[in-house]
Amino acid sequence: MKLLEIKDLHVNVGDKEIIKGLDLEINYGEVHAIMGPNGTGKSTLAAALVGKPDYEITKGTVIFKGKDLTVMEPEERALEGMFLAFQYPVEIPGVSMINFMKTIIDARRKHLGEDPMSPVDFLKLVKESGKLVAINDKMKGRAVNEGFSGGEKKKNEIFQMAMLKPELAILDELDSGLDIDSLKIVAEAINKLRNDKNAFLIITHYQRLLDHIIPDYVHIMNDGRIVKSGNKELAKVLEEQGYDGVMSLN
Amino acid sequence: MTDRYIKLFESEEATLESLLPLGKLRKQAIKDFKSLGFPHSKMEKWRNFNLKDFKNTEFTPDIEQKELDMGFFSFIPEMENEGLYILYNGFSSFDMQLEKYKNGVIFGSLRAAMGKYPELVKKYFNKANKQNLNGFNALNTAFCADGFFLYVPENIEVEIPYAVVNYFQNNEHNMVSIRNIIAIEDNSKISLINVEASGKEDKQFVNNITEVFLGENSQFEWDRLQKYQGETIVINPVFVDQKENSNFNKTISTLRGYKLRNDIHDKLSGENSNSDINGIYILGDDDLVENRVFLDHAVPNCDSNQLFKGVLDGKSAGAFTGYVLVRQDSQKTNAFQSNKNIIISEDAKINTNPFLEIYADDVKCSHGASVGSLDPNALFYLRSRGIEEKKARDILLSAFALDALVNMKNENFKKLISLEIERSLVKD
Repeated sequence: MKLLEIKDLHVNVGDKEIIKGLDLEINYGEVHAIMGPNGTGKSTLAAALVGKPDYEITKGTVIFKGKDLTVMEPEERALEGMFLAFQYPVEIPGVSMINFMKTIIDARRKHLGEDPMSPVDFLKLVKESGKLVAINDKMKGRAVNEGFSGGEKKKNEIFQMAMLKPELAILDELDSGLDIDSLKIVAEAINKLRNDKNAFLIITHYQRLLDHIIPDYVHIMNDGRIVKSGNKELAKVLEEQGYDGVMSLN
Repeated sequence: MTDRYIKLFESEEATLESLLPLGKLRKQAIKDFKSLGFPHSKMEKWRNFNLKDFKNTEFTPDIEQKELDMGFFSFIPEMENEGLYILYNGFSSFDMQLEKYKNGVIFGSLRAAMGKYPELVKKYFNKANKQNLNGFNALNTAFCADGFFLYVPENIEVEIPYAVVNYFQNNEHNMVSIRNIIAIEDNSKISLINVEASGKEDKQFVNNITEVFLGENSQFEWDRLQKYQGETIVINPVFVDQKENSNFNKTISTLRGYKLRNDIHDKLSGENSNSDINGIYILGDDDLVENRVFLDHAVPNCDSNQLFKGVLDGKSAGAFTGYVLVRQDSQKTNAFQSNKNIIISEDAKINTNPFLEIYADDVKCSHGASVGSLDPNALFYLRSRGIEEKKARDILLSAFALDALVNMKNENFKKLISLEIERSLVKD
């Protein structure tokens, strides 16, 4: 079974059609990267997949783990194993990181028919996952994303991903706001979490993230469609020769 | 209508005096009441507080002490308190309860304190509320017969909070006039937790005045939980006078209120004093709750903060009026005021008036107000992590409201209030 199967996807934001017939298949164990100029619909694709309100799927099918994704609430998609690392993670004042983590871990476990995690196991998981992205204890004691620097927010996304162990992780412009050292740490964490039971969809503007996380497939998006697919070399061509260079490839 | 209450006073004066002898003060108060009359909606300070309901009901004071109904026990926080004092329908629940503790703290019935320590009580009685600002204040002074008295002598630090429970029940058309005095002498520190609650079936009027006197270098934390059910009309004026270096930290958590008004007058009369007054109101149905704070920066070098947060549902109406006065010589004042609201139904409304009046030129002051709905981005962020929408809403609303309890140091009571707030926000 394929993990994700998108066929002829059309997405409207308000009255405007942004995704105009997109096809994509992702199997377990694969890392896909989507690149392309600004405003081509990359982030819209991510938002539509996780069910953000106001992102309306007007046509096409999206099958996730054999189920129709389009009829699921955002929380159901998450519980099924989909995860979005936000381009702009939201500050949640007053909700402590630890309480938040416990809530989302237990929600996922409940969905899988498991009991809430014991405090000991939970703290162990927090420690391990935090270590992976070099999150310090101070951050864990604060409210979710509140007062975090841009880089800390991005690390926090991957921290949550490490805790939740989703099957499909969508990383939306992960490298924006990350300095090079943090980028390496985060990329290394993702490489460690990569296995044959999960998959990644990396949305990025720049090739530099793909130097650290080697994708199996690279797709170039333009005007709401995937216009070219290839291996990691495609990303280099895009970086060096621009969009026109990619399109002139045969 | 004022005539009716004046007649009531004439017939009850002797009884009231026998319970709590105030002499001239009482007579002056009824005179003040006569000239002031009841407030009405054309008065700026009362335009948000609809008194029609009050005026349409004939309230009568019930001056007899009643047998305590044990139902109130469900409202007592489960915690160790240094002292617990219960007022039932405005009267000391156990006959004339008053304790003098080893450390010299006197705590219990005001009426008992007046009998035992008349000079001490008179030193404070009506000294912060000297003007009888409005008809209700005057009416309270005229009709009061009991309340609580908390006195802390100099150089005493009490770590474990004292507690007062005000419980009102079986009180059809009763007019309860409560008078409380809190006096903390120099270099002393104490905290008080205070639960106010009423039964479901009653229509009653509670007029509950507290005067607070904070000596030099004193610290006082006062946390109130208000949980009024039934048609209880509540007026809660608080008059605070702060001396040098004193620290006042007050929170008011209002979980529902049919018609409730907290009116706080805090005078910073000694330099380097600090006042933090924070509040939460969670309203629904036809609730009407108004919080008013008048912060008088009478001297230089003082700090004040107010943060009030409201969640309004149903057809409820909330009002916040914060008035910070920085007098001409009060340089180096820091005064901050904020009122934030989330409205979760179409019919709820909030009237917010943060207000600064500044006559000094070297001050830092700010004020702000917001009214909005839940942040859709935050809601989506939680949902995208697998938290169902209803629960995500509850989490965000609780977090929003509980922010106002950040200064509370009574951890056990804070936990209890947090739970109560979380519970009251959960919608089926």
